[in-house]
Amino acid sequence: MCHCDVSKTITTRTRTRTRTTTIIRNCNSVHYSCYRRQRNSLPLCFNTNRHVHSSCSSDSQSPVFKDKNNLAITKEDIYNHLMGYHDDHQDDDDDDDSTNNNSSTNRTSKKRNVFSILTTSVDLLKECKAPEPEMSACHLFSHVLLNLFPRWEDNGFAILAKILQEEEQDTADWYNDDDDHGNHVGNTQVTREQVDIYASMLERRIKKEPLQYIIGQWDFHNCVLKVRPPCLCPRPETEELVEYVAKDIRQMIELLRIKSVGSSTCGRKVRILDVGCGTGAIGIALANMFPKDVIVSSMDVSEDAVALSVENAKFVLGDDFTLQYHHPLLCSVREYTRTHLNKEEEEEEEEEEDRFANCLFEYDVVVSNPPYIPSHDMSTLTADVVEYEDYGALCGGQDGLDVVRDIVERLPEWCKGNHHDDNDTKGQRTKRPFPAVCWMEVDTSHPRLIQSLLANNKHVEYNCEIQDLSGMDRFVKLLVKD
Amino acid sequence: MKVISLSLILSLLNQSPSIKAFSLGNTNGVNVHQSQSRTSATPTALSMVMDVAMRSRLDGINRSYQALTERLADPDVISDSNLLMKVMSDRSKSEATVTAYEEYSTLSDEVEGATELFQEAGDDQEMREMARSEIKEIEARMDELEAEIQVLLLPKDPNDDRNVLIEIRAGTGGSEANIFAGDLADVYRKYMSNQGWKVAVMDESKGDDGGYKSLTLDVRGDMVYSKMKWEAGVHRVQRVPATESQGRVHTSTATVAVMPECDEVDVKIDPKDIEMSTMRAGGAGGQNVNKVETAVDLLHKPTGIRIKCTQERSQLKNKDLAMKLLMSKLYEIEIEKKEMEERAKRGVQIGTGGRSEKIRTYNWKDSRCSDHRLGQNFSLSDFLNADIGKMIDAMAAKDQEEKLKALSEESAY
Repeated sequence: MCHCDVSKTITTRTRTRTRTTTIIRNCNSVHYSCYRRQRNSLPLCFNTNRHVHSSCSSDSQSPVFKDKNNLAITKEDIYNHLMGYHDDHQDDDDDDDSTNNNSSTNRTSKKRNVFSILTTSVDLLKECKAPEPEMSACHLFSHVLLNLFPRWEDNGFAILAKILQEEEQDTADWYNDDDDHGNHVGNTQVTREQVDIYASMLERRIKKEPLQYIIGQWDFHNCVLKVRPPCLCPRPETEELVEYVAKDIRQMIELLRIKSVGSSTCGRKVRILDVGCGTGAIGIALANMFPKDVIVSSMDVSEDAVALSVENAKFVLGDDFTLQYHHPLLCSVREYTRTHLNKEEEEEEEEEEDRFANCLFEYDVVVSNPPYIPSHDMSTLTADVVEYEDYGALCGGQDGLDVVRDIVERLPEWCKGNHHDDNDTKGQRTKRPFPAVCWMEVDTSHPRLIQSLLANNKHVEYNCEIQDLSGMDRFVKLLVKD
Repeated sequence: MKVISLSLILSLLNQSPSIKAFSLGNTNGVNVHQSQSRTSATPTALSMVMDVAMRSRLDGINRSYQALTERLADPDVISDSNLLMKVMSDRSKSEATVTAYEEYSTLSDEVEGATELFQEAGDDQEMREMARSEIKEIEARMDELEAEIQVLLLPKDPNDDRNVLIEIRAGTGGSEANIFAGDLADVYRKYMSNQGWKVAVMDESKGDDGGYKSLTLDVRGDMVYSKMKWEAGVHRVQRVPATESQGRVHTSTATVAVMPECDEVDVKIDPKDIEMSTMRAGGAGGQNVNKVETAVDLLHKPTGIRIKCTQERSQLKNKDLAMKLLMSKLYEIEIEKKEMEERAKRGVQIGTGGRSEKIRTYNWKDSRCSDHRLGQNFSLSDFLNADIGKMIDAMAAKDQEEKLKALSEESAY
């Protein structure tokens, strides 16, 4: 008999049935014969992993793992769960999985194929309240299954997602046929090493770590970027921002080309400034879209961001990326100016103050995804955002507009002036045939605020706001008057 | 030499351009050989000459090109991005023609200069030879340009160089139709890989006994549409099906639809007609949230076409894919409508095929496939070996011939 007081339930689904396993603590004994006979309906003791008589189980269902944040669950727990190790340790006569385990009815371990591991892991993630359980499982698992999905572009996660969907629609019986591609994927055996790797990824996901950090890279626009904490993971809205900016850039390139017809040079390059580059997403995506026609400068206050941007520039644009993408500057918006910053202390090093004294600004396009979340909203963020991504990359001060205001102040200096043609040997300065623009991604509350902020500004004009695909105000466009 | 001496005499006599045209027209055969014609039509149907009507048309094109270039410097146009885009695209359409015409005009000036030289040379044999050879060169190039300009002025199918989406659908005939659709798909796939095009399966619905109920392929490569557009329509097959036990001949059909990839400029999709929703709708977005669910659901209200795209990691790629599919579908409907109108107007027999136009019949017993538009028979074994180049070229040639004929009829007025 067992004297268990706390129990919990894990639901696992196999191809043919749903099995509920109740796990009970502090079990004392087990009836070996009962266990053998009724193994699949017997609760499993949490401590000893022994099956206990069903009559012992209590009905209370407390959370699977003790800690509310599921920090108590370890990789080993997950590994065992995926492998289906519910056996009594005494009973593990063939612990070594290299011997075939397909027909053995002694073990509760399931067939270790993609389908079963996938569905088991989805249930586990749901149980542990991990964010986006189905998508997470598909992305992480496809990343592990390099034999099936050797290339990133194969988008293996979509195939796994299809398998999951069909499973829900009760068409899972086709796993018995041999001529369907989906079946082939679902039935593929998974090695222990793969389950091991997958288990460690799942552990991180249960702790709400962003998928992009676990996998280490993600798609953004037309490139693949490396993503590392604490830099902000690029979001879909920022892709839309890149598209709007690109539209303007296309026109600028054409206008410069037309203007240069008849002169000995082709049009000069469009100059772009990416403020708060982070992973380098915006600048690199633009440089990738217009390889010969733009030159991108960028800046960030974080050393990690600067390093990551360089790494991504090399990764996406190649070793000679500096032709299109300058090395990012480690500085703030305020510091990026030629004017002598008034410093009270006289002991400041001279070089620091005049760091940009000889900088040629004259940007045509300033683009930014600055930290814009108002501080009072920071507490509403979910753990997967606020516990892993850089606070400084998210919060923009009380109203969220701190960095935006700094940018607006610097815009006239950054964009002013006629341009010398990069290729023009005579060094003549020609007027820009279009106004300089500034595009920013902002909080939903900001467009109105920015509009009134610029009401009396003689140099910067509010042009428009645009919604993102979810219908929220998200982007603003400003024009810089000469 | 005969041609050249003729033109020299004429220019010496200061004949008007129209007479020059007429005389040169008599020696058309020689002209055609000299120039690198892109058409394969018979010489008598062509008039490869720069006549007055064509010149005035080219002048007109040149004028509007200059006007458009000026407009691009207009600050009003610059500030309106949609207008700017339109002006730029209109301008770029005539760019090739204008450049060719400019070259042609420069060359005709040079010819005049060279003929003057020839005249002044008098008895100096060497000078005359030099002038003559120079004129010969220039005129050869001018003939090339004339041919180019002629072809450039033809109403072009703007979709010719585009990639396409091909949809093969089994028609009447049950499983035999499915199998036939599969056969067509195999032929096309072989042809496409011979052409060096990239093929990707977008969507497929397999038939129970083999083949496909429907199959959608995305084909990318060089000038794909210009070749594949002739395959659009209903293909009919007469044979003993594989599933037939008694050896009777059955007739079944499969429909092929060819949809060119298109840009925003081609199909006017009113943003109000589209409902695009993401899975994230509702709640804060942006930096506040980090979700990887980026599926896009697109509904085109007027036609009721609904497309959901989930297969990419980035929302932008999903959105682009959904829009691409939608635009291709809408564009195909529009093209069909336009082609119907054109054909009704001109009574032209050749068309890129409405969905219900029976274009070919494949007969296994006689081992032939007949193209109803050309009225010709081809070898079935060639077709099954994906050697369909001959059929496609024949269609393209016939189409160009029709267009040139129509053009010369127009200019005759």
